[in-house]
Amino acid sequence: VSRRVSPDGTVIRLGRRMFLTGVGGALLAIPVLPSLLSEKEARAGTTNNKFFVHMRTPHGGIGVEDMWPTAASALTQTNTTLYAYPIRWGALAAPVNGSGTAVISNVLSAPSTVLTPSIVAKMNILRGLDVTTDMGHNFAGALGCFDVDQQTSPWPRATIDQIMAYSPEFYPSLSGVRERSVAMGINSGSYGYNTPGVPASGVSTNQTGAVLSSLGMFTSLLANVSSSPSASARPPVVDQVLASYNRLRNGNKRLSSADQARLDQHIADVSDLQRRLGTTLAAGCMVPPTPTTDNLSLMPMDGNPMSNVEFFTMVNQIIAIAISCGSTRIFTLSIDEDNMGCTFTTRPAQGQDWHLNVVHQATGVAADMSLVAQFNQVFFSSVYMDMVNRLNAMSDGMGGTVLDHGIVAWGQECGTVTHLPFSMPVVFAGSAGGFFKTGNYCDYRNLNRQLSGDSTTGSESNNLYSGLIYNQWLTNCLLAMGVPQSEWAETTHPGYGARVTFSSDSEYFFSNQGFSDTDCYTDAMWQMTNQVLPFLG
Amino acid sequence: MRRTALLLAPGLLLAVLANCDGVIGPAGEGPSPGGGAGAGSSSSPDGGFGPAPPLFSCAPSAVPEELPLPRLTRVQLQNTLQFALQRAVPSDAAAIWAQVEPTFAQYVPETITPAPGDLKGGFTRTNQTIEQNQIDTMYAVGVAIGQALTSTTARMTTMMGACATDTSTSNDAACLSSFIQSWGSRLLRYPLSSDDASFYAAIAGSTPVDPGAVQDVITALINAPETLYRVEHGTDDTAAVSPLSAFELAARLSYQFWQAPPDDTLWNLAVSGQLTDPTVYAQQVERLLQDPNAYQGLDEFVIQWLRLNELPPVDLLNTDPQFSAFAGAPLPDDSTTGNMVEDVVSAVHQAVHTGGTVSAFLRDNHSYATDSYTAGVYGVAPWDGKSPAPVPSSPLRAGLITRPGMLATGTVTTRPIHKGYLVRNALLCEQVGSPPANVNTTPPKSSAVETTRQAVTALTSSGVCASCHPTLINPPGFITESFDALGRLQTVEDVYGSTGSLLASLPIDTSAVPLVTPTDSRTMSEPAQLVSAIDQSQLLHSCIALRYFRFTYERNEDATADGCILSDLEKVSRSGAPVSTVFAHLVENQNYLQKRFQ
Repeated sequence: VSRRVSPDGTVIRLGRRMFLTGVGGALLAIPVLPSLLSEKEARAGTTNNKFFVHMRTPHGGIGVEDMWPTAASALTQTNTTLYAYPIRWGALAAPVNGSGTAVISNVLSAPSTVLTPSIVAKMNILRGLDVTTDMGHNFAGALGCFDVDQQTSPWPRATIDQIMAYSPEFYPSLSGVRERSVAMGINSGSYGYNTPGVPASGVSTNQTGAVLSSLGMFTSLLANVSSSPSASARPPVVDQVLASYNRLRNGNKRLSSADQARLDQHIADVSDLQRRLGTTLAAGCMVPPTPTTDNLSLMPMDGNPMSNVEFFTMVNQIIAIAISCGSTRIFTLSIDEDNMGCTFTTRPAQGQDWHLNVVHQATGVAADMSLVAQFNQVFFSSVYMDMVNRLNAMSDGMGGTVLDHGIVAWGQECGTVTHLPFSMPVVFAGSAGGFFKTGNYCDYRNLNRQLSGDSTTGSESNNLYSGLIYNQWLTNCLLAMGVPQSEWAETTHPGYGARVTFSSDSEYFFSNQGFSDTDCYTDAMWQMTNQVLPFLG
Repeated sequence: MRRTALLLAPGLLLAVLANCDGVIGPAGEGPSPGGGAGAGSSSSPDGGFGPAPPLFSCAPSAVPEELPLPRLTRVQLQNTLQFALQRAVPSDAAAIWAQVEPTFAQYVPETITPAPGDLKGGFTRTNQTIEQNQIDTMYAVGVAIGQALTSTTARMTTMMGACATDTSTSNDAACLSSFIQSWGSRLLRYPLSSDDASFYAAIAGSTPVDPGAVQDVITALINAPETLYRVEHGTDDTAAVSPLSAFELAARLSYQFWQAPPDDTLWNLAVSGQLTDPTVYAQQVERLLQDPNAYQGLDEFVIQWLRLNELPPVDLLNTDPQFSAFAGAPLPDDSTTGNMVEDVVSAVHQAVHTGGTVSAFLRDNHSYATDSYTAGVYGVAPWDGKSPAPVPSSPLRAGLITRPGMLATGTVTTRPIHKGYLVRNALLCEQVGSPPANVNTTPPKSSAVETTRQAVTALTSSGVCASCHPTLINPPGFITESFDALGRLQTVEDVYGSTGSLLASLPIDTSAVPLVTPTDSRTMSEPAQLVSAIDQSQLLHSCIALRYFRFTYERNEDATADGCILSDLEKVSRSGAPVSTVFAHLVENQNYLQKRFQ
């Protein structure tokens, strides 16, 4: 057992299992070479080997002092021509303090062996990206479906992960692909179309399925197709399941056209299952032995930060190998502290206790704000960076690492003030095959547009500014993954996602200061949502 | 912000909209402007107010929608799988389910989506989306069950007969065919034709009773369209509207009430064709409703209708000094929440079994708590489930809205806003506009100088909140402030500090104008008055008709197209018919017995 000390002094004990799967994922990563493309193929760009990993942490705005770099030297450059206001950036830096902790900010800090200079050079920190509507609670907003208080979205959209998952450009071939995408969580925060990949069928009102089990992920992504010994010579029964649906669909028993349409949807899903069950992993994929332990065995884990971390790193090791092998190239994680029992602190979620009595108070209570920061710092240091380092430890066979071919992004349910959509924090690592420049801290806020932090329900913050539009970030993700605009085109702007606006109830953010939301999020800005974000291109 | 009644008779709609705009003033300011003829209720001879106008009307030319290819819900699927296991290997069914259950757990529960205009609530049944996760999980479950059922010779013998495990191979094909016909027909809920049986038998190939072959057949049957959906072909191949077959009716009824496949009685009546006889059908409806298995459906309906599924564990904060001081001894335990819910659903059970009406259910003030904690909240002894249920001595226990399960919050403070919205939306079927998305959703708390009511009032009396909260949402919640956050009677509101010290005992104020109907501007201070006003308005009678429609038809209503069905059910509900008659009436409606091919 070793010990890790977080910046606030909290000691996290690391068990043996955690050590084995620790930084770099060395034990499992070493044999995995390369990303299963020949060098010729990869260099020629004849196929897509990009990957997308997105992790979303829950409700609870991280205070500006905790989330963002505070050093005045962090933002050294200014551009006044790209937008109608100055935007700033600087080289990302993580100086190491006397405790051996590399520190970008209070939350963005980790042991210097984890947050190394070479990794920092592959990261970007984006500040000042706003969802331009009321947020409240919002599990799917970070990926592009802006619901309001987790109600049915007035602007349903397939989230970007699902657009990628069914994009023929992202997956030009499904050979070797076991799962188009994997969502971890209880509520996935991910929405697809009623008929996957078919926008005309409408956006499903159900979130896509999500799994928690690391063993389950291993089975679906990396294990050999299982079958009983006696059945090993038998054709896969999924063929006959599919046949039973086609038999009904095309038979002579009476069905309505609506019945048939639903059967078609089911048939499409069974077809996809059939394909996946018949998929063998690409040659060269080095699969470790089946894990003997499932992360579910760690539950209940409420109030146990070490178990919280291990719960996710056990998944990271599976996903990193799966990405390297190409058995999936999309992974999303949606953390629900309540239902998972996960706060990365010793204060348990206790159902709604964390939500109501910590998070909702955090804006005004230092102790609660500290807990929210601790949650996110441990997550960043031990879960997010664990995934980043695992992928960066895997060679791509071309002199780079697997990480270089995709992005590992961290998004949040709300901005730096609980419930509010301003400055939704975005952290990501990886250049997506050179699509993004990296090593930047970008501040897109419009410091000429400070928003009112006072509403009828009380003071919210004195640190609210409008910025660039969050849709632009989501669009950048799609473009970085090679998904063309034709697959997600909107009619009102060239970027991805609904062109949402604030309700009249929230107009005070702007009107109290003598302007309106459309002054902040101008049509000109909307018409640039398909542009690479400033300083990243 | 807006407030609308559902579907609604024009007069009432206008009146309600007027309310939401804040036209109605505080109590004592004279008659409300919305109270024109036909709007709201009218005075009745007993000094109360008469029924509100009906919410629904029938346009005979309207054509209801048909829910296409209904998908079994997760609960129904689970019951179906357990039914299939029970029929295959009765003595091992539970053990196999325990083995399979972790795989089935991957099946994502249906999200409850409020109906358009509602902010909360809804029914899992109305979520009919088809998801990849469902297909993947059911396939894995089918494989797992197939493996389990064929894993031993004993199970194969029990399931298929000795022909499956004897040394003879000449009987193997017939053995498998017989199994498919018997077990498969019950699983798929219709008698398989010889073509059907041949199709599934062919999956086994040349070794019909080889365990691997049978496993595949079982996997295919479990994943068959007729297993996962209620496939209905009707009995007329040409008419736009076709009567359902006896088997289709049996499945509809059985899943409606029991959430499970037809039992032997229902199946046999379908086989004989007797189920299509209206008299026999009605008898079966009554049998299914009165059977304890009906709690499977009934409880889901009641829990989701009254949003009891949102009740947090009331023992959650037992270790918190403030909560433990508030709760005192004994503390609630991890079964208390379930017991409180059970008390509410038991009231519905009683109504169904004793011929109780909607009014009786609303006013029923018996305690059906079988545990000592919840009974203690009522101040009575636990009910033994057989004797007449005890009645709390306090007249403040006035029925449904004062049951602990409707009052408890899992914290130290009451939730007048939640209670008020529940009355407005779940009991009166009114819709209230959305709060701002950035609203502070922390429930207002009492303090040493401020009761919960005062805190709620202060929070919601200005800005956009003021257009609906003071007049519509908060008042029904204030009237039950004579109960604390565990549903116990209180005469003062005790406020505790974070360390558990008593900070203050503040006087409570339960006086409010709940505006049960737009014209009923009476001030009330006791739950019984509110219950009486709700009852007199008959809006609950209309509301239960609407909610049960959604639950039964597994979809939200169309105001025009479904008007005749709803109006018909509303009339029955308002007529003073027993609750069971209301429930039965909906499935005896002609629309329920047929399928519309669109």
